[in-house]
Amino acid sequence: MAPPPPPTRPRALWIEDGARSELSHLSGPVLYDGRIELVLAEDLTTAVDYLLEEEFDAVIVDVRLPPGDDPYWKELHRRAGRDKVHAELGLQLLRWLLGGEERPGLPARPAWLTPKRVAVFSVDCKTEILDTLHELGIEVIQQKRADLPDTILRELIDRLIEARRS
Amino acid sequence: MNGGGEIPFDALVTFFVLLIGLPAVVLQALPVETRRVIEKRRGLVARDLGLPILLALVVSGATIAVYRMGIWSDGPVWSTGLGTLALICVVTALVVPRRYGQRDAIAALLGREAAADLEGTGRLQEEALHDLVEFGRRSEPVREKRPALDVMRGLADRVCEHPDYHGDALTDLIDGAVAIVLESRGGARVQLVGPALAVMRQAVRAFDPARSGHTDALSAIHGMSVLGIESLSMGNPSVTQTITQSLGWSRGKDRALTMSRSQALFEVGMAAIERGQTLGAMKVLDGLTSLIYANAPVEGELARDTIGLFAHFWTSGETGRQFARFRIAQLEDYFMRDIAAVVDATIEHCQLRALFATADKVRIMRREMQESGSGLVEGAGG
Repeated sequence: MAPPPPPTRPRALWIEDGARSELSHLSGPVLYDGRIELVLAEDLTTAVDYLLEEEFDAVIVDVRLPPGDDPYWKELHRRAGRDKVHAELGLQLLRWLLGGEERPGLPARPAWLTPKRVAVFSVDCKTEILDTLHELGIEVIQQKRADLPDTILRELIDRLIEARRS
Repeated sequence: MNGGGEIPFDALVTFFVLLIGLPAVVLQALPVETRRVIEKRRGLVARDLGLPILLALVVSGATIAVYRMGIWSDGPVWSTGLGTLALICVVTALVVPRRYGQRDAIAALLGREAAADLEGTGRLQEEALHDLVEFGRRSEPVREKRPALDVMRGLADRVCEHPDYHGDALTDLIDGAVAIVLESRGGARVQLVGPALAVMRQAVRAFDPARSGHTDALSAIHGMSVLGIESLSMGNPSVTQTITQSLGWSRGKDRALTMSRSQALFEVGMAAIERGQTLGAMKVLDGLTSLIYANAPVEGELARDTIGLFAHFWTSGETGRQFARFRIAQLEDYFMRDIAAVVDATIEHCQLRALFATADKVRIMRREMQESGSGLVEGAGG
């Protein structure tokens, strides 16, 4: 007799604006095995909408992200010369979500989100960025490189889910 | 000294020619879709353009009167008068092109008109909304359509927040947003999907079976389906992903929409496989899987759509067959009836909905599953 079906499957949010080029080879393995519900947010506004609406077991964040339509993130982007590399909005998002920084203009933070549920997956892994991520308590950090396996996204999600279980 | 000189009619006439001519030139230079909007609002235009002319007449009259009274010497009188006229001309030259020459200003104007009665009635003015949609549809190039969609998105938010909103005030807005995207050409139209999808997501998010009807939510789901299929030709898989995840994003109170979501996903998935966009079809299956998890154990439309999509994978080739077999095994415990009964029901359902091609593919899948001993038993459907 088959075991009773689980009521839900793990849910992962991938905040990544380069998904257009990476979607096929990185999300393919996640979609193929069907164990994880993968949600994609291509900008900060969309990501925050999802984070406020639903609880995720894993949140994978890029450092270089566009702001979307929210005036708060747009203003940060504008101040950085409308350059997502310098704006590092992914880092700003994590500081707000995990760093306890009060930011007027943003809604209340989702209380369920802890550093154990967050991984950073970015081409940008400068020392200052790594220091900030460690200060925030984020342990799963993966630099994007050309030699990574196609299953890397699934592996990152699995690591976060496993870490929470243990 | 006072009144000793002549009234500088040449200068005065020049200013009036500027005040009348400049707006005329600007209005003539506007694109057709903007002129169409303005022509329907002659009263507003007459007010906007008449005001500086009226002001100039008053200034001219006052200057001539002061000059004739001889209170001040000629020089200061005419410098002040002509300077004021010049200022009016400059302000008009700055304001008119901004107000009528920029699409975001026109879209905002139409948005304000459409929302004129919103506070009291909770509904949008149809004619202004129609003009806004037409304005968006006819604007070119693609990036110029965005202001209309942004305004429509804001309107959708405001309608949904209204206490008298009952789920039936957004169909024109949703249909309009879809039409604007569909009538766009070129790679840049990808940028239009976000704001159009936001209108639809808002309608679905606002759906509450306890207080509202289904009309807007169903229109929105249909719109997402149409955009999902269209997105397959946009050359950007993340757009399809975004749309299908919105369709599969079923939470709590909107369970009543599951059937429509399922149908919409199936249509997108079928189109994706037909066009060889396997990743898009996999994402659709992921959306259906989310619906199954949220509603398990499932039967009816959702079960049949899922089996129908599996059949499309199954018949797409050996790897598709393996994938379908793997995922059916993963999901079969979540169906209310055994898989053979669901397969038979799917065949019958597809026949009745004139989805003959899908029915044939499900038959092939059933036959091959039986031949390979996958546990399917002979059923009643075919």
